[in-house]
Amino acid sequence: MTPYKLPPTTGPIPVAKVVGRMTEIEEIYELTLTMSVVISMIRRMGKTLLLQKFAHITVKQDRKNKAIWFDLMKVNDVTELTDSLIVELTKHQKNGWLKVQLNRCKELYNKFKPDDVKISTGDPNFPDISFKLPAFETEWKKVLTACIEDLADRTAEKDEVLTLILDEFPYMLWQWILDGKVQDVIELLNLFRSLRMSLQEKGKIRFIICGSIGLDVVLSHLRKEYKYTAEPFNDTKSYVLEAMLDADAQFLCECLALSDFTFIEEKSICIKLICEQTENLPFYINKIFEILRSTSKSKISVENIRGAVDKLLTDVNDDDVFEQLDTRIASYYPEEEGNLMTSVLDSLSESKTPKDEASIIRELDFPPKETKATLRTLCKDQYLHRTVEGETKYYQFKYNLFRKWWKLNKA
Amino acid sequence: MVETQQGISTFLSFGAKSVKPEILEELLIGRRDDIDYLTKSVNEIVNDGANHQIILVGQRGMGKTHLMRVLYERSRKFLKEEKLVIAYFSEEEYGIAGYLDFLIRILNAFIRWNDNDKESLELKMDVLRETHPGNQIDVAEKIIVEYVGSNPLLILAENFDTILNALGKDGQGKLRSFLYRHSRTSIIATSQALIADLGKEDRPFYNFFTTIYLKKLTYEDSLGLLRALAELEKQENVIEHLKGKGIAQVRAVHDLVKGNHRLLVTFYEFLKADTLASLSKIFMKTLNDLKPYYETYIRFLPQQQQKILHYVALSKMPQNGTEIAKNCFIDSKTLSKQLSELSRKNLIESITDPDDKRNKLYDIAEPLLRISIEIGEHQEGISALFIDFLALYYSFDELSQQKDKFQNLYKCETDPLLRQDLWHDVKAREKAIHLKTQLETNKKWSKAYLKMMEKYENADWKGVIKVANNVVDIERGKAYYSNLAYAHYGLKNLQEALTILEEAVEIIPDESSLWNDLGIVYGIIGDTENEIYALKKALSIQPHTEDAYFNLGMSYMNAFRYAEAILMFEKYVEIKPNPFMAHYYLGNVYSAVENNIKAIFSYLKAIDTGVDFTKNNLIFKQIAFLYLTQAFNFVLSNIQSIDFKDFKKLENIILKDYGFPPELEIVYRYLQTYRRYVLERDEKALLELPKEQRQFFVKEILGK
Repeated sequence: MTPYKLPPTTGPIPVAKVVGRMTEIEEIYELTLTMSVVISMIRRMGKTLLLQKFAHITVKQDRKNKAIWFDLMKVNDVTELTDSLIVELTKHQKNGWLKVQLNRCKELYNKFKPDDVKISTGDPNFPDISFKLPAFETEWKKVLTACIEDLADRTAEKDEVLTLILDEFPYMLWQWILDGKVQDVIELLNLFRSLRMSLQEKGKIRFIICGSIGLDVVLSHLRKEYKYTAEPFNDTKSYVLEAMLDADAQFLCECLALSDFTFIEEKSICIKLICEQTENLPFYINKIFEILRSTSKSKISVENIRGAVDKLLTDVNDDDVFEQLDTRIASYYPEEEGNLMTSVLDSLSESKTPKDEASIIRELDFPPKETKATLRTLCKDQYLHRTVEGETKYYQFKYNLFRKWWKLNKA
Repeated sequence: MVETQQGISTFLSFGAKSVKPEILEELLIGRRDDIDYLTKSVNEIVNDGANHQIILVGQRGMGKTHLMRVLYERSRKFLKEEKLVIAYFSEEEYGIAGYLDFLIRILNAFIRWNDNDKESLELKMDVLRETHPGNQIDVAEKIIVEYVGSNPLLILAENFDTILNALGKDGQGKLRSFLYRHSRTSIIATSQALIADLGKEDRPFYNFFTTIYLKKLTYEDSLGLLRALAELEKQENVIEHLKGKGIAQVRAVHDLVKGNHRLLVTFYEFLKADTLASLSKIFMKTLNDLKPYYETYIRFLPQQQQKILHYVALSKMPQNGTEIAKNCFIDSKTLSKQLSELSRKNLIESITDPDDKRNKLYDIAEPLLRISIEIGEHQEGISALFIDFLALYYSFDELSQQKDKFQNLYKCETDPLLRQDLWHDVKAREKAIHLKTQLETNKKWSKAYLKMMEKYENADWKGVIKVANNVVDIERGKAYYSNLAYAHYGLKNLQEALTILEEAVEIIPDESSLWNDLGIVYGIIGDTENEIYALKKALSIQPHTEDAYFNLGMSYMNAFRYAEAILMFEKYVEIKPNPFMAHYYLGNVYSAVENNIKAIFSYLKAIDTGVDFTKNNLIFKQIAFLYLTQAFNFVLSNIQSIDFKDFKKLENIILKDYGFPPELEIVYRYLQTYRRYVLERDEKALLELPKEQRQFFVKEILGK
């Protein structure tokens, strides 16, 4: 594929310009043919763009499994949830490929809405319904069920699968918890599970749950604080989004470089170095190009690249890109556990090679059982990578870039 | 909507949004890189299908509104070509209570800036007003999306920190979702400080925006801005003033205002002030106008932070943590936390103590904030800052004259209110004179400056160059530049020396010695034309500078401009009557123009003055004797013009005054031989010369 001009940016880009990730998309696609998937990764890893591209490709290529992407970061409460789904569904219906009637929704709406309320959007393609009315606060489960069941009843080709991508679903749940709506969270999780079970085969509906907070974090919190015992996602497949493949990362660099960057040394060497230093993480590749633009007048050389990486790791104005590694521990984990996580990371940041579990336990002044659990949590939360040799487990930072930052700024 | 476009006077009253675009472009001093980056970003949005989310961070008065307006104007061509839709928010978008309000502001911006679409958009707004509240957000988004169509949307917003605060986490989430769902939307916005939410992992816009920090103007930028203002207003007096004496004043003002655009523009007014009497009024009025902005900042701060700001502002100089804690009665742990908070809010800045790099000093980040606090503090309405300004801006003589003038006016004035004003002006000058005296007495050079001078004295040229980087702007005067250039010259980096001096005369164009140094370097590299220009410039600034006359004489001589060379050397010897080198070169020049009488006269003067020169300039002794030999040879070759008494004198000079040095031995022989052989008719004298010398004597001196 020929590289195309792509200015460095850390915000959203048009889906047609999202680079690479086709391998990952196909892997997820295969999974969703038969089951729902939970994807988690820390923020700024490119999840949303990947999923937007996933949805775009499935529709554009008229695949058997088509996906619709929903952004749930904007959903503040249960009454907004169904409306968000309906707005997005309507858009796809306008495009022609999705044939859903929303009859159940309309019926429910007409049954419960106050007489003096008239929802009118002036658009014949936009349903004159909204569930963001106080009247629906207590009926939200019926409403959501109606919406999903309407989807299951859609006019579909034989064996056609519909995947609903619920982006930032865990984030939404976490905000509801912080807002004191724990009961809504629990009920929603239970409802989704039952809908998934009932409609998986009948309506061929799949879900991709995605978020920068691991669903595990949310569930763990509910279990500890609210004695929640259900396993709402034990029927789903967990998928970890890794860094880009080499070819994709290099292609991304070539696209970014077309934005008036000049290679003053061998191009392939420079691109290789950028990918190496950023470990193929697209957000950080973009950041390096941004720094090269502002500090090196868009001139790319080995020295400038190393300078840009140094700046990324040490300049207080660029600190925020990594600060999440620290702040998310305080945000999502109880204090005691957070302290242990920090200690583990402090210890591992000093070592470029993996450390065995026993050494880590010996080094830290924490009970072994808790330390092992913390190591496991840090792996699940994508901080650490674990390898097993024989019967010995070894741990190290998943990304050396993060290790360096942690060592320089936190340890 | 077309806002009435105003001229520069509107710019001067801070109405950047209403100023003509061409004027705004001219005044983009110190901001060209920023605007070029933003313009490039907009081009990429339109032409390359890119999105950009950019926040410009800069304190009040740093030119954010100016930049945004220029960006809008540069982007208008895309509007006309219907390749872009812009929502250009007002500078202060009051009353945003949530995401719906934000969407309405977008629609209002469309209505305000697009007359052709105003009517249809207002109809849509009517629909929105009639829509059920639960659906208004969806409908508003829909109207925007329909209006934008397939074009990219660019939102230009100021005080984005305020907007995001108003949106809260919920509204931010919705806005972020909109940006992802309608992925041809870009935001370029400004903020007065770093927006905390953009750095928090659990906030929707975590690391979403590219942040650009606007830099304070450098001294050169400040000077450039004032010159540009003067050029635009065709203020000839000010233009001339800024080429000469005004330079030093701008340097003082720049340091006072810390490179803040708005304050610089304020001080520009002083450069234009017609009468001195209006100065304090202009000053006070302008600063009083600015005061309310800052009272709001201070009022909503916690008390301890208010105390800290108050103390640091009134201290005028950066303070260390210990002093702040002591004077504010705050314990050090609490202080540390409060200082971090104030830094984060961009109200305090920390700087490394130049005298001890391990320590930090704290100062008010915004000069306007300091002024506001000071005005609040001062009795009688005289701002301490005004006194500072007078002390730095005017010389002692000028302040004295002003004081006398106001005193006289005060004596003659009968109106009580006017008398009071005049009395304030008298007092202000008195205080300024007192302050200026104190400043001169207590002037303390920094360690870096002193170290640089020390290394210069020790001829440690590399050391000079290394330390020079640490010398602060305000101390970079003639000594700094001259010594730095000399250090490079010492290391044979002539081009570097030249560059430094060329820069120096740009910054301090009224310093004669720098022009002199520049001329010398030009001379060394063989650029005679520029050498002469620079030396003439030195002379024009400070006439009767002996070095300049001498150097210029040399330049003219090397350029074969003998008449001018003679003029310069003659001037030189007038001022410095016994300059050996000048007499010698005058001899050379006169002989070049074949005025042998004057040449001989000059050479004889050189011989006379050479005695002291060779005693006091041991480094140049060798070359001096070479010159003396040449001088004697010329005299000998024109020996018929010499009086008898001069012969004895010359012989005695060599024998006694010069101490019969080996270099002058042969010359002495020839003089002696001529006196004896020609004047005393002693035939034996010729035979006492060795054969080669005899042959030379006969041929060259006797001319046979």
